[in-house]
Amino acid sequence: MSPCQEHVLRSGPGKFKQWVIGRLRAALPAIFALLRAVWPIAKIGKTHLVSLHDDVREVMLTDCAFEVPYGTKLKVLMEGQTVFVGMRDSPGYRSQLDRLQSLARKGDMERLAAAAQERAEEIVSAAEGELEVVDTLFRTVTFDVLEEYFGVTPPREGDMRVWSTRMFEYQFLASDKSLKDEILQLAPSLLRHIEDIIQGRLANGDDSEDDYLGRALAKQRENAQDWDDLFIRTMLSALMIGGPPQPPMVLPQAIEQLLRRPGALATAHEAATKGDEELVFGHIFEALRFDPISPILPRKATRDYIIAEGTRRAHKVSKGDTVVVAIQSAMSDPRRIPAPKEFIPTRQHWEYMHFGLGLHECFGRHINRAIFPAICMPLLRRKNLRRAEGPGGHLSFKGLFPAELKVRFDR
Amino acid sequence: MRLRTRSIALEVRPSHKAKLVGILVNLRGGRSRGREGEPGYYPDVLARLPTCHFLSLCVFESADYDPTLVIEANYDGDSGPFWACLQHLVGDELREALRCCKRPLDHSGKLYDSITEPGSRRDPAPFLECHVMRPKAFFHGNRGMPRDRILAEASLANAVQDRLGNGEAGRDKTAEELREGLRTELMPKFPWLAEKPKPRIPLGETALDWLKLAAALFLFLHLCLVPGAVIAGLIGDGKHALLLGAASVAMWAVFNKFRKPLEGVSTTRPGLLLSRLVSNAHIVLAVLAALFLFSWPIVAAGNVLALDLEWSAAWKNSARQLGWGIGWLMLFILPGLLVWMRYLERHDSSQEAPQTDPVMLRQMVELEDWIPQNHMASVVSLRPNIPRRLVAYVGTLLIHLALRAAVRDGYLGSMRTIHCAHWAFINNGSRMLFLSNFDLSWEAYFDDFIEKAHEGVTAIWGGSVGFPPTTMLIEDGAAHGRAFKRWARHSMSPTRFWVSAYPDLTVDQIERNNRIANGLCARRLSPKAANAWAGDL
Repeated sequence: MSPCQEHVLRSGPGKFKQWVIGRLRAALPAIFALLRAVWPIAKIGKTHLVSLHDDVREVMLTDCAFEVPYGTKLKVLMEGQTVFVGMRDSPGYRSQLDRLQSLARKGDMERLAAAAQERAEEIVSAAEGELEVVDTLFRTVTFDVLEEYFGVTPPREGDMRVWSTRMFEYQFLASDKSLKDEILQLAPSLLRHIEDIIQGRLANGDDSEDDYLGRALAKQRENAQDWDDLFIRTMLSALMIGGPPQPPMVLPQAIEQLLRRPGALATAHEAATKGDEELVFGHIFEALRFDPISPILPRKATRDYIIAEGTRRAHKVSKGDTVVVAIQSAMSDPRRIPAPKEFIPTRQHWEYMHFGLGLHECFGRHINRAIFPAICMPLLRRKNLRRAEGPGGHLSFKGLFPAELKVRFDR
Repeated sequence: MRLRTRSIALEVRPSHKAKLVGILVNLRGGRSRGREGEPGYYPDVLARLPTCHFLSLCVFESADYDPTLVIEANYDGDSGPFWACLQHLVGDELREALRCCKRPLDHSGKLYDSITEPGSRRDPAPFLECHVMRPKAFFHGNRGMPRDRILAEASLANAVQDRLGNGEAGRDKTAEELREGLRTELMPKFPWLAEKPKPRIPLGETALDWLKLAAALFLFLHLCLVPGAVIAGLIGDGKHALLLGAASVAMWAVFNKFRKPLEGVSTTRPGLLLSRLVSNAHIVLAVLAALFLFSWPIVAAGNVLALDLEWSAAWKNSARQLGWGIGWLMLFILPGLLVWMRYLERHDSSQEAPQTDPVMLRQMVELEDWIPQNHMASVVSLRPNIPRRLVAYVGTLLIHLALRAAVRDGYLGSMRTIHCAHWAFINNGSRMLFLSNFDLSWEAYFDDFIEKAHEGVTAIWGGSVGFPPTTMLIEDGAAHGRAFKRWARHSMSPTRFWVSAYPDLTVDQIERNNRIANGLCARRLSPKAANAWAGDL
């Protein structure tokens, strides 16, 4: 493991706990299959676990009854500012989303994909037949490309990769005391850093519109009320927390799944060699179906609601209860997903829920759609891609974060 | 992968009929590719319904019942994923269409509410699944052919045709040389030619088909043995013989009097049913022998349990009872059932000139004959008396089982133009739904029915209100060509949305393509087989 890698991820749990997490992760498909068959909507205390495809979709699409529980932590991260990621459907939510979406330009995704592929090719070419992919390839390329795209340059003091990853972990995965203490230091650092960048650009009279920040400042010149510095800072901070940490989590898991399936790896290699980025993306998404970034997603009931009403499994949820939707289970439910145990890289988009569904479908889905295949293609193009010898050749985790995966290939 | 045929029938609120028709028409208009309004060819739909062979949506209208929305689907594999694909393709339109339907009064009412309430985002697929009907009888012209295989073999046949051009390419070669040359040339593009083709109808499925037919026949005939066997247990052989003799003579006298068609009804050679029975006497005898053999242990066991007999005595006693049972079956019960049926047939009403709404007729005609295939949708009311209904239910089941067991090559009688057709009972079994995807024009399709398969058609539709007069279950009826066509048109509604996965292929072409593909898959063919194969090119 590289020193950098050690630095980006927090020291994981103890060996035994990590082993238990690993076993649990491996057993999830069997657990979900059992739940779907015998207890499709399981209730333990005030928590309800939903495992059938239909019911998962119902909960995720019914945002008027089930809200995302991200708002409180986001306020901590944003010094009290609200962000659409944690909001209910409302004019404020729509307004934030619309403003942010208006920053995207035609051709952005092609540009991003080209930049990601070029950077990934440099790294893979420089490796001498062996490469650690989690940090050296996926994290490096993602941060390099997205920092440039959003216009958030790396800080002189501190490491953006650490800041983003820690805050992502706090926002979505953990809330232990040591992490909270760290967040109280890091969150203001990120916000101040972005404020400095904004002020610097304004002071320099930089009116380029190549990145999100430049475009936001251009909007500010037209409409200062909707595009004040605070809004721009908050949105850029949310993008940096929610965006770049994801590919280094997702892509190693996809490569690990491909390495387990020589047939799928061969077809992925063929697609990458032909430059068929759609099919490469199909392989990545399909691989993730077997080990998604998040097998479950939480929701909070905002009113009493009956899930699957009118069916024999109709189940009442009371206001304030937590509903956990098992998206991994939904993507493997044979009642709706054709041949769920087979690796089919040409599935239809609705068969996947990696980006969530409904109101809070991942904002960065188009970016991920563009950069996932672009980062992986230079690696998948290499002949005889295989695991490196030793324990490094198998994907290891620190908590829920992929930590290391070494691969070899013919030069 | 097994081809499944399913349909859904939902009653529509009369006030919402026009809106529903509009939704279905928009579904078609907005998705059509190629010629404007052309039904049956929707590449975008087909790409997102990867297992679908045929899909249709129509609204039936009649003065006798409220409008009815019918969704017909023929698809490969499991049902759940198919309905999921459909809802992801036209989910919003389906929800709007359901809002035009009546709220079901059964257990699915709450589900209906949650799907159709304003702002609902709940998937409609679970509701559709609640109302899916399995057909009572269905027929698949290219049985055992999944959609992917049909399309792959069509592509191969086109490639073969391209290679052969005007025939010069294979002029100086033997059939086997030509085949081997084509196989080598096409193998890179069609690597599956190296594999042995899967059997279209596996042995297990064939055995199960025959087993189901045998079980249904056995159950029916075995129940018919009961009266004779009971009487045999009550009276001695002498008196029994006298009773059976008197009863059967009387019954046959009545049967003989009534069996001929009434004046003006006969269209075919009278006595068709009886002549069929006589010409197939060996089969009838074999069936009776099998009935005796399989019933014997059951009746013997009944004797042991009910009469406390020893097994040796029970075997003897049960053989006697079965003998009398078969005697009553052949001499009294079956003729009795036919007499009863003839009584009903003589008093049935039929409609010689049913009125078809000219607007609907024009819409139907406008939607037909765009491509080599067509679609037909019909709903008829069943005659209300119990025996007629029973004949319709039991007859449809037996015809279905017989078709599944005996028809393996797609020929129905001597016609082979049907891709997928099925009959289902709707509205608590009071109406019969018929949906068919067929080749050629509607007129030609019905001419085929009338000339080549009128007996089967009469057996199935004979119990419907207004059907042309029948004789002895299978005679006349559909053979009244013009009356039958008028009656059928009257029962039809325009198909508002219809998709075919292979709109340019007829049943015959699919079979021909399959023979070409199978021939090319073989490593070697005998000269005779190779010549037969070349005959398809």
